[in-house]
Parts: sequence; structure tokens; C-alpha cells
Amino acid sequence: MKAVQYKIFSLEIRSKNKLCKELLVLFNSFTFLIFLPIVFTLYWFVFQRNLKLQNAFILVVSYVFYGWWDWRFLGLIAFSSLVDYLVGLKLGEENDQKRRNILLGISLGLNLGLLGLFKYFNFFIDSTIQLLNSVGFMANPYSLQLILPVGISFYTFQTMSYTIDIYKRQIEPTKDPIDFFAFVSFFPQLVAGPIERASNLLPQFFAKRNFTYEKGKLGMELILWGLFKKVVIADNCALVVNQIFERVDDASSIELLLGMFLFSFQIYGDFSGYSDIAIGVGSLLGFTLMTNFKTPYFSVDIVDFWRRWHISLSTWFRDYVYIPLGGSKINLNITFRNIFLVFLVSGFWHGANWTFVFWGAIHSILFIFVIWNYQRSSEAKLQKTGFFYKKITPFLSGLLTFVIVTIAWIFFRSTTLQGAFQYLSNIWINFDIPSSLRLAYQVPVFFVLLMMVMEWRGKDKNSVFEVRSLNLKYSLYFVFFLSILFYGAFVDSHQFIYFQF
Amino acid sequence: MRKFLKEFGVIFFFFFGFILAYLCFCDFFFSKEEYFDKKYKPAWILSQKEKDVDYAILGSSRAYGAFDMNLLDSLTGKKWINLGSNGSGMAENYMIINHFLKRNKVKTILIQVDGDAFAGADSEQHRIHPYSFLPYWQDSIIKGVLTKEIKSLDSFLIRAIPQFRYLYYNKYFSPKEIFRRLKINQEPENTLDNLFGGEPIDIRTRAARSNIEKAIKSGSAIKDINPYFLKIIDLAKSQNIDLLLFTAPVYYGTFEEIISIDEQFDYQIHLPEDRFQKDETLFSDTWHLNEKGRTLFTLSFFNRISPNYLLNLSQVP
Repeated sequence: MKAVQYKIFSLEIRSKNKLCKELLVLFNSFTFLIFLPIVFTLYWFVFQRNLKLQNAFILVVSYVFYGWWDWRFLGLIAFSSLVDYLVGLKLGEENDQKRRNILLGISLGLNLGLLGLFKYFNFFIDSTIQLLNSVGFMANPYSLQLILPVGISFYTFQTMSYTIDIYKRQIEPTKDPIDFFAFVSFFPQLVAGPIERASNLLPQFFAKRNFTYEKGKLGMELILWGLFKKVVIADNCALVVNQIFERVDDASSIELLLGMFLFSFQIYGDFSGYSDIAIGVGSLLGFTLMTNFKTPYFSVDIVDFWRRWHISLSTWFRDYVYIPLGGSKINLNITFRNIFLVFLVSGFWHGANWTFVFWGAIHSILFIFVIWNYQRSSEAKLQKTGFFYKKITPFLSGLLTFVIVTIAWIFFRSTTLQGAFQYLSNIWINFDIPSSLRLAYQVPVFFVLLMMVMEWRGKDKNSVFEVRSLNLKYSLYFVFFLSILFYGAFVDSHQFIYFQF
Repeated sequence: MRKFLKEFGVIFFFFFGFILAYLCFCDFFFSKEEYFDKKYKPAWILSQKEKDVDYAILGSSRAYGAFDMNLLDSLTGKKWINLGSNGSGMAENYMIINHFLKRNKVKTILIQVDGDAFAGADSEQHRIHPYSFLPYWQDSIIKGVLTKEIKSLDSFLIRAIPQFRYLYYNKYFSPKEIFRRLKINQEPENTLDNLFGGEPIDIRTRAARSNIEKAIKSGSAIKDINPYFLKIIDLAKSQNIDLLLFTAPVYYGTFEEIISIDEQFDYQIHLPEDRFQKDETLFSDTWHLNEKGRTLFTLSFFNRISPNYLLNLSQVP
């Protein structure tokens, strides 16, 4: 068979990780330690009297924050904001359904187009080439280099929700471009969420914001706790996890299991830590951002897990993908199909790699199983009472959920599906019990346990530092401050994992 | 706002004061050479003073472990010191030799070079272990290299309050480390002193890998020479110190890059004899000699630099 040569144009997307680490104003950097007090002081003491000026100030500092990484991408975020602002205005005026559909199509097409270009183009080209090669066609890729703009998945979803809500006539479009541009680029949550809805965040730009002691204190507590989770938990876990993932073939079963569980806490500490700091900074500026994590590792099942993990994204998919597909209103088969599709898309949102799609598929299967089990046994469950059913069953179910979620993270962490399966199989193949665990492993394990204890006792509170005794509260501040000081990984600190999505 | 600022101000100044006090103490304590952990090679090197040596060997672990220093000492009757250190790149070598020359005298410097030494700033030869050098922040050369190469050490905060540099490397300057260092003088005599800085034999043996793989080095074109390597050459010239370039054996090493540059470079680079390249019994791993290899290479090297005292290598076990 004569091989046909196809030339396919491919764009090589690189995440510019090294540069990001150096230049991005990370929440755990000393640059941010200087940036935030300056913003706070000017915001409350210079611009407070005039709301318009205060919002304009937010817009400027947000663009400085983003432009610190790469000023060229300010054009992208400004363009995306401008299109959605104009589409929003038109949608608000337009009553003709056909025109409204076209306007919505422009907004979605542009946002998804940019996302597709920067994030997924290469993936589709590579996959097409592999497919063509597998059936005997020889396709040669050409490559261009494109930088993946930090936070593009977050702010495109945020702006899309704005136009969709206007299209659905759930909110009115804003006429003030500064308010809208500030809403899209609001620096605390710009690069890694929470993905705010216009209905929650945008009205906060219209009303005069007042500083309260409670909000300020909560903000500082969330920043302290978020920093602890990032630099002590996530970055210390990362040191161990990276070592283990780099030598999957040599690592013993215990090390592989440890690497697997520590990655589970690394990603939680990293992402929820960022969210906590974002919400805390928002709170210091008088904003209330949505909760993004509610102690997800204490979930009793996978459905419960997704009510607590990355809430802003899961509710986004629920409202803008799952429900428009029919949700659970039609029949059980359609419900299962919709769940499956939503998780595949969610996996794909996390990254242009089959590993993320597979990770989404694992969660969808578990989710469907739990929903099916709910349907099957809901009545029987209601009749069951007693200690075992009320206490032991949820505990065991929660433990099982945590283990399965942790196993699924292997696919999230690995760069290839083959690598993920290799990791899992080596847990059995490399069976070995070391006589002692290295000290490097003990530090993250200790702090993970401390974090879980704190989160367990603070799970129904606004902050883990919410205690009755004032002395205890200050002692806790001091303990966590010391933990950051002595055990925080500053120079070896890693970029927040979710910046790449 | 007032209540918040008052309460937060108190907490902030308490915490900031605590950090500053701790970091100032770190600066005081960790720069005291009596509390250096001299079993750690860079600390041992940096603490050397008032030595008058004929030959100083500079380089990475391949230089550190390539010579039997006692053998060299007895064969040559000259004073030797091994300044090689694990993972030390050219930038680190430059800081080491600069610091060493300020406090000691050297007649000849022997620099271990690999192909990477000629491969510019992105090469492995640029590696630095900044925490080893933080106590010598006052040394303008050390400070200059660290702030140039480690972006986080060039921050506004560290320029304003230099003690904050210890915070970045808190793992190495923890309270636990302070307590450990306080007991350091109670430990047995430092073997590095007895070995003139040579590598204790048991270290490499313990770390040895079971498999030795054939080194595959791509003969990449050399565009520019590592800037710190050039600085070392300039430094030696300015102080009338002789330079001798060499490379330690590599299992199945071809040294193509070195050979190609050797022809266009002022200095001759001493390559190991061919017999070393394909004898697995001389290596603890691909890049490092074992005890037997070290003895043989020391003798071979001695013959190269002192041809009047040729030894019969075949008699060496």
C-alpha cells in the first residue's frame, strides 16, 4: 500500500512553566507579600470614597497582576472581555430569538475557539496523526510554538457564564465596561478560580463595599491557612511525589502507595490552598467569593465528593452542560449519559491529554454507580437505623471513596495512560516492605495528619481557626505560622498545579 | 478597620519581629565556622584557611572521587588539597576557588572539565547549591554569583533585609539543624582533614549502583564556553597560578566534545588513558571510579604530570 503523505499543521503548546515560576505574582511569593499590602492600602484609604475609581483600581491592579507574567496576553483577556461585554449588551436589547442565538454563538465560539486554539489544538492534531498513522497513512506534523495563557480556562468559563445567563434572562447585562472588565480579571481568582458567576460577583462591583473587622479577620485566617496548605502540605508532598513518580520502576510498593496518597493531598493542598488565599484576599477587599472546597476527603461517596471538590467548576458544568443536556429529568439512561458526558468534558477541561479524559471517565462510572445505587436502595435505606448504619457505614464508604479518588489521581498525575497503568501495576509487582521510612517522607505525612485534624474539627465553620478560647486561637496562629516558617518550601516551591488548566 | 489594623498590626509586628530575630540568629550562628558541619564537603572547603598548597583540585564529584590524595601526597612530596564537591558546577567552582584563594595560597589549580564545561550557562556545569554559600554573603563574589544565578535571591526583600535569604533555604537552617550543629564538635575527628579533602572510600561504595551503563554522550556542537570557567581562568592568570585541565574517566566515555574543543583552546586537557574507558571493574558507576580505579587513575595521572617518575601501573593491584 502506497503511503500517503499528509502534512498537518500543528501548534506546540508549552506551558512556560519555568518562566511562570519566576515572573508570575504567585500568592506564595514575596512579591505578593509586597503587592497585597500596597493594593489594600490604596484600595481602602485612597479610592474608597468613589466606587467607580475603586473598581477602576481593581481593574488596573488585576491587569498588573496578570501582565507581570506576560503582558502580551493582556490583549487576549481584554479582547475576550470586550466581546462578551458587547455581546451581553446586545443580548439584553435583542428580542429576536434567531439573533439572540447568533449572539450567543459568537460569544461561545470566540471563547471556546481561543481555548481550543491555545489549549487543545495540538492534542487534536497529535491524536489525528496517531489515528492516521495507525491505519497506514503517514502524516507529518509541523509545529509552531504557542504559550498556554495562564488561567485561560478559568476566565473563559467565567465570561461564558455571563453571556449564557443573559441569554437565559437570568441576569441583566452591565452597561459599565469597567465593572465588567474588573469582574473578568479580578486578580484574586483570575488565574485559578473559583470560577465566579456573574450573578454572584458582578453585583458586588455595583454596590459600595465596606470593610468589616470580621471580613478582614476571616480573610487573614484564610490566607494563613491557604499558605499552610500550599507551602507546607502541597510543596512538601510534591518533593516526595516527584521523586517517586520519577522512578516508578525502582520504587517499592510502600513508596508507590505513599506517592499515590501524598499526591492526593498535594493536589488538595495546592488547589484548595489557592482557593482559600483567593477567597481571603477577596474578603480583605470586601468581596465574598464562592466556596470552592468543603473538606472533600471527608465525603461519604463520590456524589458527595463532587459536591465538595472544585465546587465552582462542578456547579458550572451542572448548570451549563448537564442541565441543558436534560439533566435527570428525562429518564435514568439519559441521566447516566449526561453524567458520563459531563465528566468526560470536565476531564478534558483539566488538560489536553487522554489521561485527564480517562480520569473523568473513572469518576463518571463511579458517579453513575452511586446514583444507580441511590435509586435502587433509597427506600430500604430510610428504614435502616442503628449505630452501624449511621456511623460505621458512612465511615467505610467515605474511606473507600477516598481510596478510589486517590487511585484515580494517578491518571491525573501521569503524563501517559501507559505510565499510569505501569504505576498501578508496580504497586503489586514491586512488593517490598522497607524497614523504615525516610525522614523526608515523615514530614509531609505528619503535616497531612495535622491538616486533616484541623479540617475535621473546622468542617462546619468558616475558618479552621474558629475556636472559643482566644489564647488557643493565637496559639494556633503561631503554630501554623511557625510551620510555614520552618517547613514551608519557598525556593523549591512549585507553581500552583491548577495554573496549567 | 481601626480594630482590624490594630490587631493585625500587633500580630504582624510580633511575627515579623520573630522571623527577623530568628533569621538574624541564623546569620550569626551559621556563619560561625566552629559550627560548620565539616563532614559536608562544601562546608569543609569553605572553612579552610591559612593553607599553603602546591596543587588544588577543583571540580564535581568526579574530581572529588578520582584521586587517592594520600597516594598523591606520598608520591609527589607536594602539598595537595581536593576542593571537588558533589554536584559542583562551574559557577560553584568559581565561588569555591575565589573564596579559597582569599584565605590560602595555591601554586597550581587542576580543574576537572567535562563536555558541559564548554556548553554555556544552561549546562549542568552551572549547578549551584546556594545554601552552602549563604553564610558567606559578605563575600562580594559569592553574593554576585548567587544573586545572578538564583532569581529569588535577587529580590527586593533580600536586598533590603539580607537575613531573609535563610528563609528560602529553611530546610538547611532549621532549629533542629541548630541543635545538631551545637553537638558537632563532640563528634570524632573529621576524616576529610586526613584525606586532604579526598573522598572517603566508603561513601562511593555505599552509594554505588549495581548496574553500570555505557555512557552515551551526544557530540553536540559547542557554541560558547561556560562563563564561570573563563572567570576561573582569568582569576588564575591574575594571580600567576598555573592551570591544568583534566577529565576523570567515564565508563565508555568518548570525550568527543572535549577533544573537539581541545584543538582550539589555549590549554591542553588531560584525558584519561584508554584503558580506563572499558574496564568495568574500575567504576562504582558510569561516571565515578571505585577504589581500584581511583588508585590506578591517581598513578596514571601522576605519571602524566611528572614524567620523570614513571611508575609501572601493571604492578598496581
